[in-house]
Amino acid sequence: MRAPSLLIFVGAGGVGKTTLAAGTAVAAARAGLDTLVMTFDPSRRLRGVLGLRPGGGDAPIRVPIGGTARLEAGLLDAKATFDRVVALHSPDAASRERIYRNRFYRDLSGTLAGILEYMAVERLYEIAAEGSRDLVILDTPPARQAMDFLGAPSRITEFLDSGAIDFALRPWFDAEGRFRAAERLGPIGRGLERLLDRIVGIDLLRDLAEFFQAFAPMYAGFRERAERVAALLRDPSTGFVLVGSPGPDRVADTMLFARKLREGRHGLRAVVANRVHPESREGRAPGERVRAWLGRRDRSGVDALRALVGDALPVIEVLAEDPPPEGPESLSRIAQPLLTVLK
Amino acid sequence: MTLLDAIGGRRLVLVTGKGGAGKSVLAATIARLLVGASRRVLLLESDPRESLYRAFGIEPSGGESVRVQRLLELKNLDPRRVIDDLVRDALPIPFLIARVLRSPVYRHFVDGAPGLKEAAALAYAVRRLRARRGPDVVVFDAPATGHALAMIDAPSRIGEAIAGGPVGRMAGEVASFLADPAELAVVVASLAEPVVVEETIELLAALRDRGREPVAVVLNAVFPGTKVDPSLRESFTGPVFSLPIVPHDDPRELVPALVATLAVGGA
Repeated sequence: MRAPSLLIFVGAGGVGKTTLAAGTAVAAARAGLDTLVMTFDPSRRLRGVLGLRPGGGDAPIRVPIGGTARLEAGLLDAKATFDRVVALHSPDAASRERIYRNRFYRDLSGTLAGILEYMAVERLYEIAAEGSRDLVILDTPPARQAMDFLGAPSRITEFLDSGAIDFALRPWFDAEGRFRAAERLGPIGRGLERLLDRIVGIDLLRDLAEFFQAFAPMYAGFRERAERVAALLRDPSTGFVLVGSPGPDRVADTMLFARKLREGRHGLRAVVANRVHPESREGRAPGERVRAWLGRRDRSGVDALRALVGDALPVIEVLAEDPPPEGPESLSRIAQPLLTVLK
Repeated sequence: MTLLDAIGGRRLVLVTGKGGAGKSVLAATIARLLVGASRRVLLLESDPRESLYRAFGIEPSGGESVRVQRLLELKNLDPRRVIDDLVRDALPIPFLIARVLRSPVYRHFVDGAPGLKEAAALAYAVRRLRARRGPDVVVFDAPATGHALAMIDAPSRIGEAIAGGPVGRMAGEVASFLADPAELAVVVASLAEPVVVEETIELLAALRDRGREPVAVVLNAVFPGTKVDPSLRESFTGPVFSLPIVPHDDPRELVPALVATLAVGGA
């Protein structure tokens, strides 16, 4: 496998993905690689460390960490990315504005299933095209399911390109935007009008129809882009790092993610068991008893993970730290074991 | 004041918080506490990845209701089915039903419309509460932070986008129930770690902006001797409960230990 130029951190919520992604970026920059880390929803402290201000837009900014290589950080902003892609592919200013004004685009498209994840990858595509870094690290939105992220490009193209749209929406609205089902289907059409209104409301249907009509000139460009985005996710120089919790009840979730990545032919480079408590001797003080139990529990979880993952893939353990890592020094330190993934 | 005191006689308990902060275990614990007070409980989750079954040491049920014990029903709900059923009821023509339900536009609308699935899950809860011989209380292992806020916003957003019909009516049912502070109890799960406390404080502010002040905050898996972060006390005047890490070998030991702590525990 090639050394990755794009490294994507995936995993369930609350496992420490964002901290590890940032730490790996700092460690990589200190090791001499010009690096950019894009984060989804960093904590206030991490934003402080990286110099990211909310409302500061999504352009990458330089993070001063010393050394000869450059470290940059950026926030992912799905809406801003979508706006840019629309602007890029609209045939003219009028079409662009028609989309921007459309209520469906404004209200619902921000949370369209998979749009956050899809726009994250679109953003990567924009950045990869700039080609000025050795390594780009992407932190993903916490996933309820692995397919949230991996399936995003095909889900979006499916949505834009579905035959059902032609049947259900476009022919039903005439050029003035009036609903004309009755003319298409006669008595059934009239019934359909009433029913669709009762289910989703004619206004929403109209907004949706207008969205698709306004989007029509952009379909081809958008679709082609989505295919290239999907190809980027499968490229040999794109690596995935799966971050999981060491607890035994979390092992199954982690393995499910791993399987989805493999099935999708995505290049999983390592599984990280994060915040592993070290083994310790049981003493009599209450804290010591709990510590010893945590060490045993995490050890059995990591062992189970190693057994299931097998030899094909490294399982990297990152020790739990108290207090949790915050500044560039500690972030870089906890991520040191992950540098092997960059080879 | 115990956690049961804080919940009082309210009939819908939403347990939310940052991902990984122990919501599921807390929801299961609250359900057991309520059963201990002789209330008939429906414990609900709407995540396709079932997790509540683990707290009871039973097998995942794949969406079927499970009678965990006499007063406790556990259900993993697929909210898309709730919405599909609404469509089925509204569309008497079978071929149209099949076409609509299969349409990627419909599927994406259902999956993507902010809070629609969460509102549907809440609608299910409200409908069960209002049914004759329904549960006394529903404990909902609600989605994590961002999704939970979308859920609370959903009824009014949907009401704006969809005027009437079965979906609009569903949104209306839920909205009036959620608006009643005597019916809804929000319980926020957190960890004691500063990063999680920080996000919890942001969630508390967001809930307050929506007029949904939580009835309690519960810190899960607290290491012995850890003090409650003062910034949390500054942001929340209600009761804060601390649940210790409970060493255990069998997952079934955990909830009873936590129930024992909360049954007597003051804030």
